[in-house]
Amino acid sequence: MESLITRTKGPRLIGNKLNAVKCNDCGHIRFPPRTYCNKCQGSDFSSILIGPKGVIVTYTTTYKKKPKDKQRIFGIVQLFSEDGKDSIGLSGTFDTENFDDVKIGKKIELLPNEKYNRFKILEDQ
Amino acid sequence: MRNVAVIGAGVSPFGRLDALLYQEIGRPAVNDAIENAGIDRKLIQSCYYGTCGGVGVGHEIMNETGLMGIPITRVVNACCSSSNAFRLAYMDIASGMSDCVIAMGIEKMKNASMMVVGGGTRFQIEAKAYSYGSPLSGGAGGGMPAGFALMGRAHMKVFGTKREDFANIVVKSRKNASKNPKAEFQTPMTIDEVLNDVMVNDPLTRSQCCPRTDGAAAVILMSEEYVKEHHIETPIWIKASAMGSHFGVGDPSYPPGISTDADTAKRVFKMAGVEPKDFYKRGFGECHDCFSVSELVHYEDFGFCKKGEGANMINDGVVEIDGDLPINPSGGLLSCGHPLGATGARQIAEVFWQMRKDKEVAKRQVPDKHLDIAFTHTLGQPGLGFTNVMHVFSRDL
Repeated sequence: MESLITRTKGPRLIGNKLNAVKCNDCGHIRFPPRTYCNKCQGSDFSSILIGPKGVIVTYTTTYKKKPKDKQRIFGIVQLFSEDGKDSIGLSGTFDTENFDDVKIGKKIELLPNEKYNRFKILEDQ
Repeated sequence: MRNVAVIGAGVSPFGRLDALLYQEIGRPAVNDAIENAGIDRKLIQSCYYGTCGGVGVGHEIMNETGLMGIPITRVVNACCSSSNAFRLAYMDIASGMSDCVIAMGIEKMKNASMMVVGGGTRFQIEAKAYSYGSPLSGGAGGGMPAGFALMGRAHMKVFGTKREDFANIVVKSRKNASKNPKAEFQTPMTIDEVLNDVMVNDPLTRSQCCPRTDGAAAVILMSEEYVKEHHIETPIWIKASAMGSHFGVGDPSYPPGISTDADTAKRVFKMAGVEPKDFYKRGFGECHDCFSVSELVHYEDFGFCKKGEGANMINDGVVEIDGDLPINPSGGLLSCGHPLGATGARQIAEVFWQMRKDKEVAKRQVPDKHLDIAFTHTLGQPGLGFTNVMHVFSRDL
């Protein structure tokens, strides 16, 4: 009989890196970890840490109902493993309210936050 | 599998129908579909209906229309609810279980909140980014408009698509809907009006987002044996049905667009024995234009053009009613509105009426040469994952 557990236990972050798993059969990365691979349906995984460095893939603004409402900018980043060989897409907010600060391709760093994904735009581009 | 045809369709007016009960919205759609089919309602043996928020309303509507007693199945699958219901009705007949089935969809959007079904909405405001590695998923931080805004911006960067290209989709949509008395928005818009509308999620302005709308639609399906036995004169045949799912809209390895749509399109076209190029000159379709961006990427993901060339389809007039490949002659979701559970059935009703040259679509009739084949497509987000349903229809068996 198969296990009813579909999520492996473990912290979301280790330091400021995502605690993910990589399929040993096809290389597909799952975050958060699951016990089955969505690509090849395999169940043989290894732990892998992703981040904290990445690049902006795309971004947009939140809807401002009133002019005085706080404008937030959020988007999707591609977050890399330390050796740069693996990556995943991850969405979250950027630590800026200035739309001009955000550009596709800019480097970012994942900020440690247990609840939400938040990205710091790096000065050194 | 047995051959199955669509033989009748009915659609309620789409709009803000808060004052009406579910059965008051659904009943005319069902009765109109039966009248449109020209059959005795006693022939109907089963009902599948799609709705996200309407618990038990299928039974209410079947009861009001004299059909209580047949099997009634509710399908909840976000924006694909009634296209999924239609697919089940098709499978019911194709398998030999039934010979005449009604597929229906209905929604009152105040009962179908974003939090429950993950469906389209005009004002998704809050940006609580909680996504766990799913690019452009509902966890992207701002609901559906945000997800497609992100896709649009990536498309602009990768392919050089302009805001005007997306806005032109709305101009085309409103032009078609001005000839559709059941659409929620029937007033044409200029490109400047679209671009200068309230910004929702950059680059999407309000009119580039489908409205929350109430409405219902119903279609009648019949086996080939019954079509012959009951002398149905203008059946429209279902040539293929396909469905897919994906965790999130895409992945970093896929260009801006929806990879699961590309996969489902390939499968449905293969099952129908057609290729994307066959729709040029002799076909048309209704696709899920929940946002201007989505329609443009659908052109590409279905294979009607290369990735990155979607803007040419709209700017060159290819997808206009009198173009080489008319898309969304009804005005689509952007103008008809998007009652989640009803949209799929409404699209099928439009395709059916167009192919049959029904008086319902007389003012927006697609030219004769395009009526050989047609497709419908819905895309929904029942949670974090996406699902889609596509069908291909033909006038010939």
